[in-house]
Amino acid sequence: MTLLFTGLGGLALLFLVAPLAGLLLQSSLPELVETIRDKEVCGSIFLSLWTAMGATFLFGTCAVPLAWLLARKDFPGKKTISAIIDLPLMIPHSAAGIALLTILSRHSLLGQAAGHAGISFIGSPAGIMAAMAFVSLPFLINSARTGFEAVDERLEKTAMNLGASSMRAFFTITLPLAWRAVIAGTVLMFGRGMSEFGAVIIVAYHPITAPVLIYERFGAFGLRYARPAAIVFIGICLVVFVILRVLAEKNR
Amino acid sequence: MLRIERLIKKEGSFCLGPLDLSARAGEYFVLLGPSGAGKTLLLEILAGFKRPDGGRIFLDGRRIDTLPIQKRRIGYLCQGDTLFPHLTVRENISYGLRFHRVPRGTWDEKVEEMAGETGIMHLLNRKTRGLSGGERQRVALARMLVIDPACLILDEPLTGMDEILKQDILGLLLHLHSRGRTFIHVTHDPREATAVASKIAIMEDGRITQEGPPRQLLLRPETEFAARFAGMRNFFPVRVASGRKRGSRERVTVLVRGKDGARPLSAPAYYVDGAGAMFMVLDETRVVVSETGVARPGGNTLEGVVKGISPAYFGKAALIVDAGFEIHASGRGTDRFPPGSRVFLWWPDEAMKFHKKTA
Repeated sequence: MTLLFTGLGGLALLFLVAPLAGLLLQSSLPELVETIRDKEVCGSIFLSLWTAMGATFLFGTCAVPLAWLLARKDFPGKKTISAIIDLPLMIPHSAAGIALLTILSRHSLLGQAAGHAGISFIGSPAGIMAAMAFVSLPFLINSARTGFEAVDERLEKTAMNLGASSMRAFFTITLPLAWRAVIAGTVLMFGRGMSEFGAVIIVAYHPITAPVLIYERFGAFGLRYARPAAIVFIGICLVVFVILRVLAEKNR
Repeated sequence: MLRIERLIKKEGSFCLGPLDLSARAGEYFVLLGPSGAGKTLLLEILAGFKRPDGGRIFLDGRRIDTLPIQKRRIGYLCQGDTLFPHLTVRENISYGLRFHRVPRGTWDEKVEEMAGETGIMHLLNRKTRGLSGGERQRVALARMLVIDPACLILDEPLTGMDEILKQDILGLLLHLHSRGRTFIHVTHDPREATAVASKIAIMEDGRITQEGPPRQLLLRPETEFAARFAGMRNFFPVRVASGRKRGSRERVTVLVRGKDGARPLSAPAYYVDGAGAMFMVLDETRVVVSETGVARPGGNTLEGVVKGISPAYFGKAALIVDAGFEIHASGRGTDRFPPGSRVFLWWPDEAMKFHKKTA
């Protein structure tokens, strides 16, 4: 059985690795160097990174408390809320982008209010962040929720009985014990947001993020031009992930 | 002193109370009851994790049921393992100090003093992972006592421990209690209760059914549960006919409630020493079983059917006989009759003990 499973598992693994390896093998070093020097490519990657970070940070500070509520409290409509949170995982991301447009466009209430404050969502980093957060929030919420659920509620009660306020109990007991799950969720949310294409392209084609740039180059110039940009972006993604993972390990 | 007045709490179909209870300052008060009696719910209300629907709670004259958890001065040891796994033993014990305005410079001294009391000095710098059940409970106790609560409430503190460890922890609890704090200890184990309690309250189905010093509960049970834990399986609420001269040798009728109406027994009036609603305990080892009945003066004879066999505490199994109501018999003759046999039961007057409900 082990042999059969190793064989089948190996096939799945090969399927994941082969395209990436093909991508690498078919590019030349000078091509890559040239791409890295390309201001447009660098700009788009940098934009992808910082908007994903911003989205994770901004929406994460609201998502973590929500995850705690879902883990600890019973309230009417909890099941519905859980389903709604999972919704972005199911719907096509282009549709998610369209849905976002209806509340973010200049004609919508939110869009108008933001407009008065000098913020425009359409074709702006703010819009990109919104699109990224919309599709990636479920990862953080679900992961953090699982983490909080794994912390025995009696520990919180004990902390409060020892004199801690519920807030202090959360920050000194619950959060440190659920830390790994929260971090894992944050990394997932960040990664998912950074690589988001469908929702982003609808809310903001420009400024151009890396996934949109790769698509644009593929559409306009073909595979040869899209490939180096793709490699560079994948490389950057890998580096960021390794760093985040190492940091998370250290925090254990 | 802890005083509970008319406490009520509904949770689903379960109703706790109305409940009145008081524990003197420095008392070791044990709340004894089967699981599902509402003991943990009561503790959670005392500690402030749940709000009662009605009633009041006072600790040392101060009303506490309206206070937040942190201000009640009640140390609550939840059931099960509650050590903070990401902190060392020392950090666990000192956790509460920061919330009680204890200067940081004195933390070590306080922690070490408590660790000495609870015998865990050598564990202070360990992580909590890998500690044994007994060690964990000692750490939890030290952590609680270091912030000096006025009253300590313990929910099944010996769960999952072996016999020897139980003895150790009970010894530690008595030692800690000798410092003069009020302890409220919840358990379902009668032996545990009688080992430490200065007062026991029996809780069944959300209510206190009997309370008193352990000896009184053992000798004069007033509920089936209390009787069972005292090792008495023949416990009957009875109604004693009045009218006879108290203290006379004349026999009075004692009615025991059975499945199809009351069954009459009789006993000398001086022996019963009372009338009306009383409790009767029948010593099962004095109940003789035979095919034809025992021809002896005095005592009571009943006819019945053997329904089954029940384990005995002292070697000999008891027959369960249905004689209109269920009687356990482990006296002479019990080993000869398989279930289904028709038998006669006889017991002497001295096998019966009567007592009244304490006011």
